[in-house]
Amino acid sequence: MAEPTPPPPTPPAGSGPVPPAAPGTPAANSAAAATLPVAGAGAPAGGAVAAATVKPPAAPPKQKIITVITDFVEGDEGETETLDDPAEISELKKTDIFADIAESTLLMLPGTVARRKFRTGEVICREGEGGTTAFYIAEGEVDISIKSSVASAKQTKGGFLAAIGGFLGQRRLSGWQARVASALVPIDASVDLSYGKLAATLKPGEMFGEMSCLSRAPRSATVTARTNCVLLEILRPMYEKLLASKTFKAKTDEKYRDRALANHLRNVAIFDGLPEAAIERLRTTCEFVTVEPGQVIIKEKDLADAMFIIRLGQVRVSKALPGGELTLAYMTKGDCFGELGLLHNTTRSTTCTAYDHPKSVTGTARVGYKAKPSRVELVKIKQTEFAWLVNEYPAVKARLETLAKSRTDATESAVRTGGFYSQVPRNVEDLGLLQGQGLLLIDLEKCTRCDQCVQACVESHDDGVTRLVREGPRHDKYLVPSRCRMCLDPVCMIGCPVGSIRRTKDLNMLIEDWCIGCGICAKQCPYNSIQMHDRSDFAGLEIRDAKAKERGAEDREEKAVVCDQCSSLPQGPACVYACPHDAAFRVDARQFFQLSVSAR
Amino acid sequence: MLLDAKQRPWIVATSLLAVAATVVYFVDAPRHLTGPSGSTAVGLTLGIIAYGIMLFCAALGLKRRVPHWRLGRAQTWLRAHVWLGLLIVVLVALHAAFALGGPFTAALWVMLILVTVSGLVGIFIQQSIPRVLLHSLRPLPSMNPESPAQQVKEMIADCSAQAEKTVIQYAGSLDKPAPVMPAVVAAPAAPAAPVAAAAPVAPNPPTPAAAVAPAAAPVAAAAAPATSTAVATAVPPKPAAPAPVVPAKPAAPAAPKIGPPMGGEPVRQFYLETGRAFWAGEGHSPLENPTLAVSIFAALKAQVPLHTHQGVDDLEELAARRRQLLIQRRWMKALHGWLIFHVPLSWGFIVAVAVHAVFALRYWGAK
Repeated sequence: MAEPTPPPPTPPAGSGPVPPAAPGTPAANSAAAATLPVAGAGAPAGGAVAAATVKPPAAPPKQKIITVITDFVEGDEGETETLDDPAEISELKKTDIFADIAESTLLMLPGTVARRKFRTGEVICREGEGGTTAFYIAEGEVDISIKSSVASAKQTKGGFLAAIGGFLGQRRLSGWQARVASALVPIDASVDLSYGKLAATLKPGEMFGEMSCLSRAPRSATVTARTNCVLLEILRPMYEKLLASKTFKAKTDEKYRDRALANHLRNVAIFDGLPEAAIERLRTTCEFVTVEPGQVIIKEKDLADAMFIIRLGQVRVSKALPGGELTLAYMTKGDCFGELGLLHNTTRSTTCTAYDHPKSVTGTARVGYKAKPSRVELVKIKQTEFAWLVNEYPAVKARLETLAKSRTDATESAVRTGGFYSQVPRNVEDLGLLQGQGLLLIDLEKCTRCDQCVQACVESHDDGVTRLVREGPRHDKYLVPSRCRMCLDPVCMIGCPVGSIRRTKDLNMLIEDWCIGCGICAKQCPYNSIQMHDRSDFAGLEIRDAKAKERGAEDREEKAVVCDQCSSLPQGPACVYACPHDAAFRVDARQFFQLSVSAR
Repeated sequence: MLLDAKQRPWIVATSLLAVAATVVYFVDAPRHLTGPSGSTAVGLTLGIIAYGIMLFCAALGLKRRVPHWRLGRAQTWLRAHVWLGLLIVVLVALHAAFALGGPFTAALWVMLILVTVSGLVGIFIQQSIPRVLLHSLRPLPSMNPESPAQQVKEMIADCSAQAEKTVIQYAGSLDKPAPVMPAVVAAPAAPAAPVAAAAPVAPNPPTPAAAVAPAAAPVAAAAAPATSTAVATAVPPKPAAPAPVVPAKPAAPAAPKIGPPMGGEPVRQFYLETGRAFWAGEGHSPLENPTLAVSIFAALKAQVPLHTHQGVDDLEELAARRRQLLIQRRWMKALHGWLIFHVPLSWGFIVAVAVHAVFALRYWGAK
C-alpha cells in the first residue's frame, strides 16, 4: 500500500519538520524512524489522498510535534502544514491518549504524529499493503473490512472416478459454513470482524494499525472513511510512548472491558447462569493483569487475596514437594484459579506460573529464529468481590465448593501417587507433546508405511496439498508427524498481519484464503507443523472474483498450509479414516499420556 | 495389521459363519444320492457366496486408490478382507465337497491355496517387520531413524551426490591428484633456498603429487585452516640472521591465495577405489559392514591432515546414512514385496473362477 502521508522525509528547502539531532539522542532516533514511513509530499495518502503540496515554513527549522495536512479539496492536492508553536502541544494534549505524555517527551519526538483528514469514501489504508503507522480516530467514522481475494482451489481432476467420487466422496458438514460465518476474524483494530460480514465501523477514540506500527506487519484490513474524518497517524516511537502511558493502557483495558469481558465472564463455568447484574458488577470491578512467561502469579503458602480467570495464554499449576516441584495441571483460556484459598480464607495451596512452550523446542525448531513467547493475560477478581459473589449467589458457592473439592482430591491423589506429570517421561514434555489437544500419533509397530494417510490427506483437500508429513520426533513406539497438534497455546497465531490464521470453535487451526504468504505463522510454530507452499503447488488455484483483483488483491507467491483436522468432514481426519492398520490416531495428549501412565 | 484383541469379534463371526455353512452342508449332504457337490442348490449357493466374498476382497485394492471416499473405515475393510478371505477356503471346500475335481478345478485349488498362503505370509510380515524397523533403525546425527519410504530412493541418490561433493571439497578434483600437504623440517634451510625448506614428509604416503609439494609450500599456510597442527602448517622460512643480504625476502603480507586443497589425496583415492561404488550401489563394498567401515575411516583419518578430518567424518556419516537407507529399503521391499505375488494371483484366481462358473453353469443348465 502507499503509506499514508506523514511529513516528508526530505522536505524541500528548509521545510523539514524534523530538525537535525545528535546521533543517539531520542530525537535522532525518532527522526530516523520518522523518515521511514513518510512517503513524501508527492506520495498518495492511503492510496487516495494525492500528492500534498508542501508549504515551506518561513522560520528556520524548529521542532515540530505535529504535522497537519489540511483538508483535501476537490481539484486541490492538499497541503501540509506544520505547527511550531506551543499551541501544537496543547493541541495534542487535548487528545485523551496523549493526555499524560510529558511535554518534554513530545518535544523529543518531533514529526511522529500527523493529523490527517479524509473525505467520505477515501481509502486510508489497504489490506495486504506495507504499513508502519497506527491511526487514532479523532473525528468521524471509518469502515474497516477484509476483501477476500483468493478462492478455494478447485478440484481439477476429472473423469469417471471423479464422477463416482462426487457421489461417494466425503461431504462437507452442512453446519460448517454457518460456523465459519459466526466466528470472528481478529484484525489490527479494536474490533473483531464477523466471518459472515467482514466489515465493521470504528468511531472516534478508537485506533487501528497498531500491529503494523509495532512490527511493520502488512495492513490486515482495508480502512475507508465512512464520513469525513480526522485521524492522527502515529509513528512507532510515539506509539511506544503511548503504550507506556497509564492513560493509554487504561483506555485499551476499558475497551476490552466494554466490548469483550462480559462474554468472557459468561463463558467461565463457575459463573454459568449468573444474572446480568452480577456479571455487570464483576465486569466493572475486576482488574487486568499481564504476566510474562515464567513469572509466578500466585505462590504457594502466600495469603490468598484474589482469584484469576485466564484471558489469554497458559498457566502451570505446581506444588513444592520434598525432592522437587510437582506439576499438577496446565490451565488455559477460560480456566480459573486461586479460588480455593479465597473460599476457605487460607493460604495458597499451589503455585501458578505463566507457561510457554518448552524452550528446547522453541529455541531449535527454526534455525536462527526463536518463537515469540506469548504473554499470559488474566482477569483478577478481588477478595471483596469474591466474598460478595459467594454470599449473594449460593449456586456459585456450591459450584466453587465442588470445584475446590475436586481440585483438592486431585492434588492429594497426585501427591500420593507421585503425580501424573512427574511420571510422564521427560521426553514428552521436552517434545512439547503435552501441548497437543489433537495430537496425531502413528503407532510404528502397526504402521506398514503404506502412505495411505498422506494420500488421503492429499485427496481430501481441494488444493491437492498434503498437511501431513510422515516425519517427526518419536516418543516410545509412536511417531509424532509434522502436523498441527492443536496446541493449548497456539503461538502460530501470534503476529499474523492479516488475521488469516485462526482457531475454530473445535480448536482446529484454520488459515483463511487471504493468507499473504509472509510465513510468520510457519516460523512461529515450534513444531514445524505449518508448511509454506509455492502457489504453483496448489491444484487449480485461481482468483475467483476478478473484482477482488480490481480492488487491489494480489496474487502471492506462497501460501501457508496447516492441518485443519478435516473438521468439515463427518468422519474426522482423513488420515485416521484411511489408515487400514489402526496405526494412526488422534489424541488429547494430556489424557493419552495420563492413561499410559495409569496403564504402567 | 496387528493380530490383537480388536480382531476377536471378527474371529468369532468368521468361525460362526464357517460352522453355520458346515452344518448346512452336512444337513443337506444325505439328501443327495450321488453325494454333495457344487451342482446342488446348497453347493451352488456356497460357491456364489464364496465368489462374492472374493470380489469383495479384491475390492480392497480399489478402495485404497480412493482413501477418502465414504466407503467405511479402512480398518474395517482390511479386517473384513482378512477374515472373510479365510472363510472363502471353508466355503470353497464345502462347495467342492472336499474334492479336487478335474484338472481345472485342481488348478483352482492350487491358486486358492497360494493366494491364501501369500495373504497369511503378508499378515505375518506386517506383524513383524514394522517392529524390526522400529527397533533396529537408530537415529543418526543428521537423519531421522526412518525416512518416508517414498523418499528413500532420492535420499540414496542425494547421499551419493553429497559424498562426491565432500570429496571434491577436500581433494580438489576427482580427475587429478590433490596436492600433498608439505611439512616442516626440524632445522631451517639455507637462506638461499627458502622455498625448498619445507620438505615433504609423512603422514602422506609418497604420491606423484609429492613432487609438486615444495613449490606449493608457501601457499599451504594460507590454504590450511587455523586448526591445522604443526605438521600441517608450512611455516615461512626465516632468513639466516648473519646474512648480509636477504636473497628472497619473504613477501609482504599478501591476501591469502585460495589454492587447491592440500592433503586430500587419500580421500580422493579412497573415494575412487571404494567409496564411489558403495554410494552408487554398485556391487558389494566393505563399507556395507559397519564394523569394517569404522576401521576404514579410522585408517583414512590417519592418512590425512587434521583439516581434512571433518571431511572424513562427513563421509563416514554419509556412509552410515546410506547403510541405514539400504537397510530400510530392504525391509520395505520385504514389507510390501509379498503383494507382488498376492495381488496378481488373486486377480488371476478371480478370473479363473469366473471361467469355471461360466462353464459349470452351462453344464448345470444343460443337465
